[in-house]
Amino acid sequence: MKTNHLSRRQFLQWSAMASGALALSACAPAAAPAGGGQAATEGGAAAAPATEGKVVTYWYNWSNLDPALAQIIETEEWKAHVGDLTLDYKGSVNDEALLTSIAGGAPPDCHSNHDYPNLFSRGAAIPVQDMVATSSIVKKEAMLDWAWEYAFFDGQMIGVPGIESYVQWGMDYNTDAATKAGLDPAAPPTTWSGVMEWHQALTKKDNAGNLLQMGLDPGDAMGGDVDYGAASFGVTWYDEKTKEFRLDDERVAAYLSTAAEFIKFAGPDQFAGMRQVQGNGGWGAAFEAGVQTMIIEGYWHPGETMINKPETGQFNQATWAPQSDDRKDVKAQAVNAHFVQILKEGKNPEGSFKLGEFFNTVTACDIIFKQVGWIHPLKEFIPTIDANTYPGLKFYIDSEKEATEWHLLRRCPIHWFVKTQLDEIRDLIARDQMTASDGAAELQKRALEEFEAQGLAS
Amino acid sequence: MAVATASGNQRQVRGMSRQEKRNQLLGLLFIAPWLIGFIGLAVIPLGMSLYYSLTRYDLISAPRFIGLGNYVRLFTNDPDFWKVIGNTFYYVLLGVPIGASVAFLIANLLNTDIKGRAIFRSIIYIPTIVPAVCTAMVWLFLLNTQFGAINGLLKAFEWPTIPFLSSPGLSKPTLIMIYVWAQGSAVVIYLAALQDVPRSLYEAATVDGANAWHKFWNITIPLCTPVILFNSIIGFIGAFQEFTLPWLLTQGGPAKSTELYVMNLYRNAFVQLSMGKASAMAWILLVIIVVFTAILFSTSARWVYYGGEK
Repeated sequence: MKTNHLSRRQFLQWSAMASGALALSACAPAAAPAGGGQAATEGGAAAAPATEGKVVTYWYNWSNLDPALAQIIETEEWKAHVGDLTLDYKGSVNDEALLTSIAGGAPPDCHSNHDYPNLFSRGAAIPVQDMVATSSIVKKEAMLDWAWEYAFFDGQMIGVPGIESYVQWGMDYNTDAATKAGLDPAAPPTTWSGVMEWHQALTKKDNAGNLLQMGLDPGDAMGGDVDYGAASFGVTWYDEKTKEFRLDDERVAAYLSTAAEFIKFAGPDQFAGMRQVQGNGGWGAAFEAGVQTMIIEGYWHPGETMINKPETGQFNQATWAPQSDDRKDVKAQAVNAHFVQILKEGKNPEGSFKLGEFFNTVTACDIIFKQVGWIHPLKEFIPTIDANTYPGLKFYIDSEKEATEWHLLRRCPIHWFVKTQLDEIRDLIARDQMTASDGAAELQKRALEEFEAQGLAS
Repeated sequence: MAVATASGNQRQVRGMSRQEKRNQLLGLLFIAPWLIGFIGLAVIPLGMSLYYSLTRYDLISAPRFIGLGNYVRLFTNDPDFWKVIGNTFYYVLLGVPIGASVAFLIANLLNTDIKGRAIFRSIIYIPTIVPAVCTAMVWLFLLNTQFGAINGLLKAFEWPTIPFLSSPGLSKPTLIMIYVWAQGSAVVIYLAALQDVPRSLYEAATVDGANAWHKFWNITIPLCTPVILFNSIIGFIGAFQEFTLPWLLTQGGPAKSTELYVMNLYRNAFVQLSMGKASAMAWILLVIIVVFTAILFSTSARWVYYGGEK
């Protein structure tokens, strides 16, 4: 009698064919899901889009915008503005993730808080002046002049201005710590030597010399940025028009020397230890924790500190960011607008523009201010802000009218390269491994070589 | 088809039969998934990386061919290249031998007949399975100059704190200490090798009057040399590519004292938008690792005992 059975060879053959078929089917493109997608859960990306073109993907490098966006997309104004468009947003997206998505050909439609001039100058983003020209919301006369001007790079509008764009420089300090150190919180210093005196009074060590509290970390937040450091001594280190670098200026060396003194006073190893706790570069964490009592940050500091750590935020006050002694009467302020920058390979530029437009409404500005503490310089919105909402905010709002010197920030395509080199060189000077003038010369040399190596010199 | 043999006679060589061809095709079909993966995920990226190393490429615009420009720049003009090479060699040349030695000694201890041996073995292996981010957070909690547990204890006695990760002089040794702490997988491999050593050799040595040290030096170590070689090679390869822990703990600081090679490669690629230079760094690293491995293999004949015929 013939017995039907599967031989081992046949079993293996059939298994192999079935596995191959499964593998091939897994490679097939996924079918589009039925129904429309809706807004994101807090901190996450939205549901899958209904149809292509009805979703706009938006990535940003902030961790605290999510609650504001979640509220914005629930408003009637948003729904009326965008219709059935779904916003798929994702926060805490760092530069590497965005770059990889661009390189991989699958970028989001738009982004914020990444290197705007760099991405635009390399062709990853599209100019938006034509879209803005037809907009009834995004208008030059609707926002403060500098916010509009900042959106232009090489004569093109590189993003839709509309989010987290206000004054960038102020020195925030903890009034409680100042009082306990015998300082007058109503008379804060505005020169580097004055700030050094406060730093010395506010830096506390125990009997064994261990750092318990520090005054100012010159490498933290906006204070550590090369734009501020050079400008505080009267130097514009990069000329956007001529592409000239001036990092070897003797006044840059003077800044490096001054900054190094702050580190030396507290102790370089102790400083490094403090910075490691705050995530090796996370802004404001040490101030919020109460171990750093002065910080050079921007207008967002009072709001963010109050929202994140009210126990510290309640003692916050702000004054002019320090200048060199010969510039003691200068009231320097800076702008650095953020945009919704539309990426060239994105699928929904129109949807992206609608998002950028909506950020220019009072509704969006109000929600973002209350949820995150950020301001967009919409003329219609600024007067509605209660300057006393967050301790220290009044300085920033008043500074916009009182400033005598203005700077545009981060206009150099290799800004972040120079910043990382500055951090290293400042540390070396603080550890007496390099002189300040050698440091400035080295910084200039590295910047020029990198600029040329990246093909930006021509 | 006829071919001539050495004796001058011709012999018939037949082509593959239908069944043999079928078998060959089936074999290829079985390995096809792996082959596709290997070509798509290894060979092609390797080739592209080699190409990018000869270009100026910023991930956004198209790569521009510049020949050996990236390599020349790295060796002659890069502000960080030699520093990260020095840091990495320090880490590797100290960390791997120390790690291997400590792992071997621990394996010997775990190979003894002690109570709770299984628990000790599990404890030793735990660092290997803890995610790197958790490991980093734990060590930061322990070692931070201001708020770490160890320094907290010192502060309680009003003693100066130890800047484990914030002093350029101590940061690399601290990283090596953490590396050695995580040698659980090497311990497990050594343990397996130790249990393969024939007991009869130890008994014979005892009869001949050998003490514990003699047995360890003349029996245990020689018979474990193949595994020591294996762990050394794996250790060197891994240590040269170290990234996660230093990145999380120190970000390369203080003063770039813990900036290792792969960290700098990453910065070049994604922060400085120099993917071409980063690709060149990757190929240089490959050459370094191949040279190291070749040196280990070529010297192994002198110190590795294989037991069977050579």
